[in-house]
Amino acid sequence: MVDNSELVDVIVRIHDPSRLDELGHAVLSLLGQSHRPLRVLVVAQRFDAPDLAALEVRLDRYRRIDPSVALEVIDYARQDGLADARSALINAGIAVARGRYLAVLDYDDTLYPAAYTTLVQELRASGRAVAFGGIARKSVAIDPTTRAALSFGLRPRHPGQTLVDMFRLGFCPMHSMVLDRSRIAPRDLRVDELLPICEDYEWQLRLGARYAFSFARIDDEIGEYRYKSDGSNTVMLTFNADKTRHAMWNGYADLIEERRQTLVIVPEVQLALGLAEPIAGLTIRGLLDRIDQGGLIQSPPDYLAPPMAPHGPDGFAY
Amino acid sequence: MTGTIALLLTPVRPCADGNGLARRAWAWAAELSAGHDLHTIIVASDHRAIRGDGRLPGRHGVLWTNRQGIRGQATADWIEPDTDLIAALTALLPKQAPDRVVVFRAYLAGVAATLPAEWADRAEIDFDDDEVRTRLSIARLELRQGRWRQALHSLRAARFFSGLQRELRAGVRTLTLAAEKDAVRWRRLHPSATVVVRPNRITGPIPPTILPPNAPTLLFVGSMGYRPNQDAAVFLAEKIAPLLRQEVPALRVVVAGFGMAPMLTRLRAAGVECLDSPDDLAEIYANASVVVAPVRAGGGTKIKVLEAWLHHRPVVATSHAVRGLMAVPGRHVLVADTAAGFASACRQLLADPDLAAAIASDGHAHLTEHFLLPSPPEVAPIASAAVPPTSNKMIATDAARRRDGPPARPLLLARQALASTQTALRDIAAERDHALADSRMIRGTRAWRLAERVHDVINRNRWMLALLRQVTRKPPAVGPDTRSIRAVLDSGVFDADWYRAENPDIRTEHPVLHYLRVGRLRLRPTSAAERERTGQARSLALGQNLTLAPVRLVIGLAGAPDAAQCQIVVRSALLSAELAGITPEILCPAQWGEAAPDGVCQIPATGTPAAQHNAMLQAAGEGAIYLAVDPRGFFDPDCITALLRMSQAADHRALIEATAFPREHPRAYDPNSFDTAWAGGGCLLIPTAMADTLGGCEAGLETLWPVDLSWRARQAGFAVKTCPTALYHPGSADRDWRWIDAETLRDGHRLAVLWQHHAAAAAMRAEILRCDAAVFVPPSVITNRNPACADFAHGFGFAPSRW
Repeated sequence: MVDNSELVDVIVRIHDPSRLDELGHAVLSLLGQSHRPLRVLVVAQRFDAPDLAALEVRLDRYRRIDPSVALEVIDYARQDGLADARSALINAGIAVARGRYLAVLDYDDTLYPAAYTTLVQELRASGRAVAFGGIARKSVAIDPTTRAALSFGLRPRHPGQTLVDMFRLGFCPMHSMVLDRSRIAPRDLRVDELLPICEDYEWQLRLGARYAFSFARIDDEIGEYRYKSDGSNTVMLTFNADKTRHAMWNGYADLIEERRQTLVIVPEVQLALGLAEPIAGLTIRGLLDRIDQGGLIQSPPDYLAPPMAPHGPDGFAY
Repeated sequence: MTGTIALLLTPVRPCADGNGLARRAWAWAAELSAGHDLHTIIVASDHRAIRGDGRLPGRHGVLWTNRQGIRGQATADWIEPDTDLIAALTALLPKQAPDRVVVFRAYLAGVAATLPAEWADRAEIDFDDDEVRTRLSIARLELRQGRWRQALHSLRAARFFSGLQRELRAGVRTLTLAAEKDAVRWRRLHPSATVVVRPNRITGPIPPTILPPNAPTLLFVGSMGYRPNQDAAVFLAEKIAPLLRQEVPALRVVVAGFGMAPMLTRLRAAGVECLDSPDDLAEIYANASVVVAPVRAGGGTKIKVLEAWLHHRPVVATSHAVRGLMAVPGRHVLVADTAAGFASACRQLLADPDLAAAIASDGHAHLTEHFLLPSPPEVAPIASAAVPPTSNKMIATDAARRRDGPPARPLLLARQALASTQTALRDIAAERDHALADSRMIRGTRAWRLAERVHDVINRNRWMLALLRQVTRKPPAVGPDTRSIRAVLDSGVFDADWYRAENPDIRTEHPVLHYLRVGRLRLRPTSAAERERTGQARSLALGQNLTLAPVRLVIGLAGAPDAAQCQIVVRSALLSAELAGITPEILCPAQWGEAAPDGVCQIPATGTPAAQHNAMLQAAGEGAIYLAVDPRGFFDPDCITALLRMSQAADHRALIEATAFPREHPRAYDPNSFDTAWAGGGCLLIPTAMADTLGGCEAGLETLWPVDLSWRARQAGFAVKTCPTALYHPGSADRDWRWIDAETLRDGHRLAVLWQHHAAAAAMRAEILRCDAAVFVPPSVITNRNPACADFAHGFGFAPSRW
């Protein structure tokens, strides 16, 4: 009998059947997690029946290594015209998640063994809704002949330390965070499916305006983000950014800015940010502008106020 | 001799009549030598740092650096210490611990961090200027001048120092600044630190009062290598002087200072007399009616104003130029910030000699009250440890390398050998990179926003700008990369068109330059043929084209994890071997007891190396390939297949490690042959012939036995490889490779003794005794190892690192 109050549901999304090797590596890093219980939900898009069979065969190998980790496949077969249903895949995973804790891992990213132990401990200790860890950024050359991944460099970590930094810049990859679903209303446990990119940042902005985040473990490296030479990252690298992609990214950047201008920060978060008095209707952009003009927050290294109470009756009951 | 020592780290030679930096260093030297035996170390990047004459108090040495900057980029004068620099510094340090350690300028903080911990703890850092404000100020100036690229560079430097200062605030107890205004801000930012204001002061002798000349003369003194001074000179020559000449046609305008050459044409065209590197400023001041300081950017306090007061001359200055000097406008100095206002103030002084004399007199009195340094103390004979530069590299390094026997400063050399300091610095550098990028203060400034807009404009119009550059650019100078460019062009394997098509991030850059700058480091192929060739080479090295031949495999699990982990590692081993088409024999230590899964043989052994030794010999006796495994982890299903293929490709003459996953060891390897300096012991394939030849592993090494085994293997003619397609998850053995525990430290000492590296052994012994004397066990080993096969030059990496 799995204890749902300790369970971490990990949503692993994959859109490309030819990338099973990389998916295997992601799953390998999950098997190596020191936290248990763990349930891995592989949400697959654009996998036909033979692909799904191959995926099951691949996952069977890992099931044989450690049966205590539940490995489940969700076939996202909905055809709604989106090239990569990145957001919808997460929502499909959330729909079947049942643990108190929720995490997301892309098929080509990896986590160090103590990742979930660290962040779950932090969530428990701080009483906050979302905890973040640091992610190392590794540059990897994928050899087209042998498919060998040759790591050749570490990049500086994503810049940022606090919620205010996050409001300015999406510096936290999706796998840097673990959510405590007991503290987040179900309506907020949903990624905006209109966004094929920047969906993670938009979600973080929405959650950040309403719930307490913890960045206390941001200096602890819990995993890696791999910049691959084959251009398969969903980021705007100079290497793979053509004019179309530039235009697309700029469009979504505008949308993110619109979110900053419309998302209102709840009073609890304002107090936790160190504001003396909550300001009615203060948006994220309003907060940033006031900080830039000086004097709003004297020293905001992290939340200064005590953690907020768990969510009310409409919260998740595990 | 006072018996107490003071150590001064300075970026320039202290000099009583040098530029502002040298004078402030001189002030420190004078103060410290008054109460201590002073050891001055000049951290010099070029000859300009040590120019000047005159005797220095105490002993001094010169530490030559090649100013690598952060990750190869010269960032805001910052000096990134490496092991060479640490060794060179070690040779210059006093034998006795100093009572005071003064680090002059923030950009030497990295060097100071390599001092012994107790020395570094008591270091006082003299920032002089608030570097962030100074760089921002310069950036604003450059933006005004349309020097976008330089402005962005200055902004980057500001961001860099913002991060650095935030770190330093947490770790340094005493900070010194030149201006009270800066100190107030720092006290607010960091209330727990002692923030001391130490105004810039100058030294005598006080010249006699000389009446001003008959010819109305304006004088500006400043080093023209400093951009704010360049701006001030141009402001004076092109904006202020023309206004003034309308009413004072006979006006002389004189600009004096170092490095005038680039400014000569422009200033002379505006009717300015230029005096480059004058020998005697006293005479120049004597011939000036009014000294001007139209400086609009920079930081700290301006020594040029103090110097004018010293020479009894009235001063007209911008408000920026008198910041921090407590000067009362209208009494000590006339202040104006616009060209018209400045011209008007000058005209007032030129027309009213009494007013000029009063201003000069009050200014001089203000100087003597607040900013005049007592005469320098009697200086001790110089005992210089300076080493002349030869090739823009640290000179003392070679001396340190050549030194045989126990080093004079074992503690420090230990730190060098362990590279723990370097590791910490790397961490600091990484943290600094994060910090600089998120500086709210910088982003909030108008300069930053303006720079961002400028950057956007540049991006949007980059094609136009590229065209303009082509039209206006001078022929490129022959740079240091010429040889590399020639080598690439002559190699015959570089296809520029193909490379450009494959790498869209080239944009307007020449493909060869891009390759040398980016592609080479990121393993990008140079042509279709080269890509195919490297692909084939990698494929051959990995044995991907081979059919696996049947082999006998023994897997040795050394160590005793919990029962659940025993099951996981054995299951993963059996699965991985099954996918390789073989049935392995699995050995584990007897300590496993009932935790040992069915089919696993237990062998008597205590400790990892002993267990591996016994199992390896047993496998060799059976003619089997041996796989040494740390049982705290587990295999990727394809691991054994990949290892066996690579072994077969190497004709079973290679020691091969599986890649630790996901946290790789940063040790470098050849990207085509996958040869590496040593192979780790998490999952290590040892061919039968090697076990026969080497006779097992060194029992005395608990954690570093794979390093010793690898070096011995190379000495015996075997290859040592890493297999990037074979993954082994270290499980609970996962750790950050940068941290060294006491056991590894002890093993490092033993390894150094085994490989007869006496300096490293002495250094590590000292470090062990410093950290935890209990772990020190003096080894007594007779060895036939060849020291040339070992690498102690990279600390506990024992090899060059990829990052």
